[in-house]
Amino acid sequence: MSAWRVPRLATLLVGFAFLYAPIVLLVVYSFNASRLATVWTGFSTHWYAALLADEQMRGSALISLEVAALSAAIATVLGALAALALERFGGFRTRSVFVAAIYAPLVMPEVILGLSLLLLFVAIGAPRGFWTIVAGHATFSMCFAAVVIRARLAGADRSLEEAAMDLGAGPVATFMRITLPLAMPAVISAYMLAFILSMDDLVIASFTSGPGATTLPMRIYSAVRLGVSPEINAISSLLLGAVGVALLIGAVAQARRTNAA
Amino acid sequence: MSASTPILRFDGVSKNFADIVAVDNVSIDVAPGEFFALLGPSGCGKTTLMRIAAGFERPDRGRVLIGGVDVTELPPHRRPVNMMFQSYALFPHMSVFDNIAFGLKRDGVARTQIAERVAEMVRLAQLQGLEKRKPDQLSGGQRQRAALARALARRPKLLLLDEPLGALDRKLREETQFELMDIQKKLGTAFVVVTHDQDEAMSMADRIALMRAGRIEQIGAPPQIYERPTSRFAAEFIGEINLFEVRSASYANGRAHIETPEGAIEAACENVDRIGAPAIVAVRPERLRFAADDGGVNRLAAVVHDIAYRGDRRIFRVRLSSGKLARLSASAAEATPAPGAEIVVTFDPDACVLLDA
Repeated sequence: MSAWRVPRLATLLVGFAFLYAPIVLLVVYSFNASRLATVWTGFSTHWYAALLADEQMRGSALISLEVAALSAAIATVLGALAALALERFGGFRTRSVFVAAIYAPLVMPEVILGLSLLLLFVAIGAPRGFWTIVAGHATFSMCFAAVVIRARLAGADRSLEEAAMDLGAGPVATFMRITLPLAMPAVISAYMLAFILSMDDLVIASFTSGPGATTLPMRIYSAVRLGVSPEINAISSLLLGAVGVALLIGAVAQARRTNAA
Repeated sequence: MSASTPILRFDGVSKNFADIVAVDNVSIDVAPGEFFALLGPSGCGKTTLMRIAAGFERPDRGRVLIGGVDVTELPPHRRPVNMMFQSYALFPHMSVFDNIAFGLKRDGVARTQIAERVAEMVRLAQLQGLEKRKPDQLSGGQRQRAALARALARRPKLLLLDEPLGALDRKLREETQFELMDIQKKLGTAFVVVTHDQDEAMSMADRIALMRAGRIEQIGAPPQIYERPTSRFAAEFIGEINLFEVRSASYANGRAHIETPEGAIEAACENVDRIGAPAIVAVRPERLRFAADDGGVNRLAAVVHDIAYRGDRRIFRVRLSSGKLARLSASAAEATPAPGAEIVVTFDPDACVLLDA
């Protein structure tokens, strides 16, 4: 056993390095004093300060956060309703079609989804901008939310809902008092997942945005085309931090669900 | 509601799941205040029948009446009946207090009255001091009592209990049986218990409906079902029983004279029509005894095969002349022949029950 200790540890380290070294490098270089992104000259928080002064970056960050918060809220509500329909309404006639419709966007190329959304918005004459990005993000992250919440509902004990009905609770009261509170950890996870998906998205946002609505990933991408600056490293590090916090909240919610069960 | 109106009536109820017949034309009346047991092996339809009463399943045919009112079309939350679930189904995110108060809040009972009623239920179920605990902080027995308290909080006239003792260990189960009976008597609520455990049904219930494959096999008080089973299934499902195959029989003066592979048997017999059809004679082990002298009828020669000591009783297995093993249950105080001893077992004609084979 002990003879394998070193090789096993090495494999683990190589694996982690492969996954996280680029990210660590990004964060380290965001504290670089040099203007050149790839030459280390010393520690500095200069670029974070520069970022605060950058109106455009701040504006984009705000737009991204707003889009993520809003689209995740819509996606979670719609996803929860879809999950409820799939898990609680029995074998209705179009159920399998509905299942396919929910799962298809999970595997559909984002470019196609973005393009089709663009075509739709043009066809109905919707002015492209903030709200079309929100709609686009809600559309595809809704499916992820539905999957997460559905798994929770499927694992829930039906007899709890039956007991509530038996004690005089109608369908609405049963949902509000029993089903929803018990599914809350999954609902929070779904929201966080939808939030992250929206924060990360470049493709769909690019297709559905219009003038005045540039999200953070779009801003970063266009800036990088002019060359990587340490400021980009800094904003990317912050984005990373935000996603990390969202993941953490989701994980804590899931862990509490396990403890409560 | 007059005294003669049954609190629960199944009127020709049938229910299929796809191709499986779960409940087949069942009619039962349960009287107010009665302790009624639905007994049967798993898959016999007893749980489905209970779920039909609670409103979780809709019967394909037939009607369900509670207190004389047809509730067949009513959803569960509109029915004046409560159920205690096999899994207890206590709400994990609520305290014991909130679990018990849940139904009262739905009914719009005033806050002070809720507190009073919950306190009453807590006393009844001996849960004092545990009101603030969550279900996962309770022991198995406490959870069971909390579920019972919650189901009784709305003071239903009829309570359905699905395997109420199924999740408890053996010792606790017996204690809880008596507790349930006490509570039932104190409140005068009609209890309908679903169970697969014949001992449980026999010791608690006023009447038992024995079910098999979706049908009622026999309904009666426990002694009636035990002493006078009407079918081979009923005889074998409840307790131990010795069966003797009827080869030929004749009837005279209220007695059937029966030839069996084990010897001649004389059985008290009211139903002459039974004789002649492929039939069996059934005798409970405790009705068998060792013959003390040479007199009397129903004398079967046997050899003691082995003895199981049960504390208060001994169960003898004796090999009869045909090679068949029969069971004889005797009080431990009696003298005991050793294994291998040649003996004669006997029983009274009125200990015999004639059944269709």
